[in-house]
Amino acid sequence: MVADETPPGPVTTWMIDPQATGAGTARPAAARRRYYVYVVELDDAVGPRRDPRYPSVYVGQSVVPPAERLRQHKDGYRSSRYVRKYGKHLRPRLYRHLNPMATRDQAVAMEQELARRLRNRGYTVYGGH
Amino acid sequence: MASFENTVTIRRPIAAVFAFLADFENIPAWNYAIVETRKVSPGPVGVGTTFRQIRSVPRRSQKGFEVTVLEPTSRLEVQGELGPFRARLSYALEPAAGGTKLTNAVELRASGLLSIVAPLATSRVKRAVAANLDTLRQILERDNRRGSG
Repeated sequence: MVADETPPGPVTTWMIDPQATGAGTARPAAARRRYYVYVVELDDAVGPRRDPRYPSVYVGQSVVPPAERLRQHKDGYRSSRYVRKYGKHLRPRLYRHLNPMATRDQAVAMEQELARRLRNRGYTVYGGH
Repeated sequence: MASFENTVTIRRPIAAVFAFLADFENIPAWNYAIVETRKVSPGPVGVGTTFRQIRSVPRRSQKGFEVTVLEPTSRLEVQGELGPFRARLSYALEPAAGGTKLTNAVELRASGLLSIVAPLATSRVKRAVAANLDTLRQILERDNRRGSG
């Protein structure tokens, strides 16, 4: 999904956040770059739930860690309108065991797989392309 | 110590196989000896996460294991109790033509009298693990036919 194919630079909000980059260090070399999938729970105002037991969620992948990527969405940087407007918080239990990954291709494949699995479980899933 | 290895090729992408395996509460679906697997440590699953599981084979018992390696999307390893043995089980995933090659390596450690009979039990355990891996393959390939839901 375009909104989550966050480029590593040259000037992005995460680069000036020491929590995201490692305080006082340069951006990691491409060889050490890591990719992440993440899940954001959405407010019910986004639309009806497919299954009332499971909330609506947004599934994405990014080169920046999930907490920073959520901030980017909220700040409007390459954001999904669903997350910007309805995003509540991350759901780490649903994705942390799948992170980090070594390549973008792996993260894209995992994003699709995670979205598929959550849909099958009953979640209403946005993103996950 | 006894060790063995089984390999299976699954017609699913590596992401799908890893995601299913890393959801350890799926174990009862593909391991005939396990009735229930439940996470007992808090927080998301990662290295150090512990699980308890109820076995029905060789007799009903409750055992535990800990996640010791979690490297998306290529490797998982757990250590814990496998029946009467201390065990280390690793799962290595690599892309294969049309799917994923999954190699499961098992190391069994026994102490006392059990160490004498452990080598005799190995071939039986290996066959059982191979059967479980085939069940895992069938579940994942069937899941693929169900489409994206």
